[in-house]
Amino acid sequence: MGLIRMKDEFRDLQGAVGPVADLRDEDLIAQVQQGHKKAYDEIVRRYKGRLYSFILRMVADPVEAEELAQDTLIRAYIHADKYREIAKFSTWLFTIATNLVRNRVRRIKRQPRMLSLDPAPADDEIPLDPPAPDSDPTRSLEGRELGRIIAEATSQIPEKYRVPFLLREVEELTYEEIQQVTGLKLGTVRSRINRARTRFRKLVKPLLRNESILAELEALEARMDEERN
Amino acid sequence: MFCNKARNWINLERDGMLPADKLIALEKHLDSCAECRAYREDLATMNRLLGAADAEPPANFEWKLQLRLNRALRQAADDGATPWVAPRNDSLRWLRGFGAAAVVGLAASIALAVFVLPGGGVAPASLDPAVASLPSTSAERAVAVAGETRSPSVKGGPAAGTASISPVNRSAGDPDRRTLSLFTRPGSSRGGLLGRQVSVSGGSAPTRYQGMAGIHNRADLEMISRLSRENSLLRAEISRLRLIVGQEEALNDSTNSALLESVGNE
Repeated sequence: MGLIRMKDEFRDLQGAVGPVADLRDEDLIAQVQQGHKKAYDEIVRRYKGRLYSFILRMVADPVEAEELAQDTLIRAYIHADKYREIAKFSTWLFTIATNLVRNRVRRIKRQPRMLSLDPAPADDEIPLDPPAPDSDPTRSLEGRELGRIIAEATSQIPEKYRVPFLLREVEELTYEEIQQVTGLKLGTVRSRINRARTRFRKLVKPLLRNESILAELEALEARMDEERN
Repeated sequence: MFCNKARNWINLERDGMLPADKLIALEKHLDSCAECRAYREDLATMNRLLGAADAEPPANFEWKLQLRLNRALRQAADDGATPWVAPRNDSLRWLRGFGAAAVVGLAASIALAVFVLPGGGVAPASLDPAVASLPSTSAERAVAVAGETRSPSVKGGPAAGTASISPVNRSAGDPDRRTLSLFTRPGSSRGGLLGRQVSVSGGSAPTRYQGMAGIHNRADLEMISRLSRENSLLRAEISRLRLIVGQEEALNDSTNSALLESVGNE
């Protein structure tokens, strides 16, 4: 960041901001409103991962997810003056992201679908149908990454349930915040989250009782904790 | 308690929305219902699985963001500096064009309002048709010319306190030249009629003003002159801003090219 010279009015006032890492998001965006670019850099550092992850789960395409995450941050910068501390900054940011994702999904739906001439499924596609009761669940999951399995399962949740579900489960937004982001009524938010949970549970049931998967999950969580510390 | 209700409560409990008294009732149900207990555990595990599936953005995410942000800011600056130029890929282009036309029309109306007598002395239909048919920008230039070209000349006119009108002398083949002088009583708010030649009197030498007719008095001329100067200043400022944007663009393009080359060589 900062490799390319910005225009005068967007140049950061070095030393005028002080350390930004300890500031709240709302204080950071207030400084961005005054033209402090270091504050914006900190916002990008805090949210680029969360936005990318959230959007990737919605669109399932890393290139699109990267572009939409960047679009979200660009819009947050350009329209920073429109933010008011009535809602949390994260709520405002995820509202922008959700709207961009929705627009993109709508645009994709309107485009004519490309039909594949090859009716056979790709070799690495493993269906997530519930296994037969007496089958070994690990056999169908051999050689697959845990993250990719979860992503596939997530992509099978209908979009209207997936947004509130991910905002609740991953981003840990409250029901009220999800209401603000999505524009849905409180009861609708609650019911869609419940339905998504039921659907997701059905899709990943083979994993939920699998000892080796759970062990792998624990190891992964320990690694992530180490990286954070 | 039925399991359907219990599962709803389990969901609320996960989201921190279950009241304390219902929590007690739920715990009591879970003590005796293995399926609902399994459901609660599954929700917790699902949450862990989703957390573990977080994806990291690519390493050059911030670098690309910076490039795109610069581009977006340049575009925003271009749109602001030249509102009469249709912005690229803008579906609301027609609205901006309408807005720009409205601004120009308003400026022309203000200029024309100078020439309309208060109390409706001159109907719009009496405007010199050659002047009325000029496009707005030409009309503005005509107003600017009226303010800038002021050539005092003594013209033998009537005595102070009287008004006299004579037809406009126009040169053949030069429809834009409107030479006129004003006759007006001192302190009078009524000016000359459009297309007519009058001369200013009132105890001082009459002054000939070239340009559109209907000018009331010296204050109007000064206002026209001021508007013309402001117009010139605005145009100069816009040119300066365009130069800055052009320079920034050139600098960023050369820097971006260097960066892209270095990335391509990695």
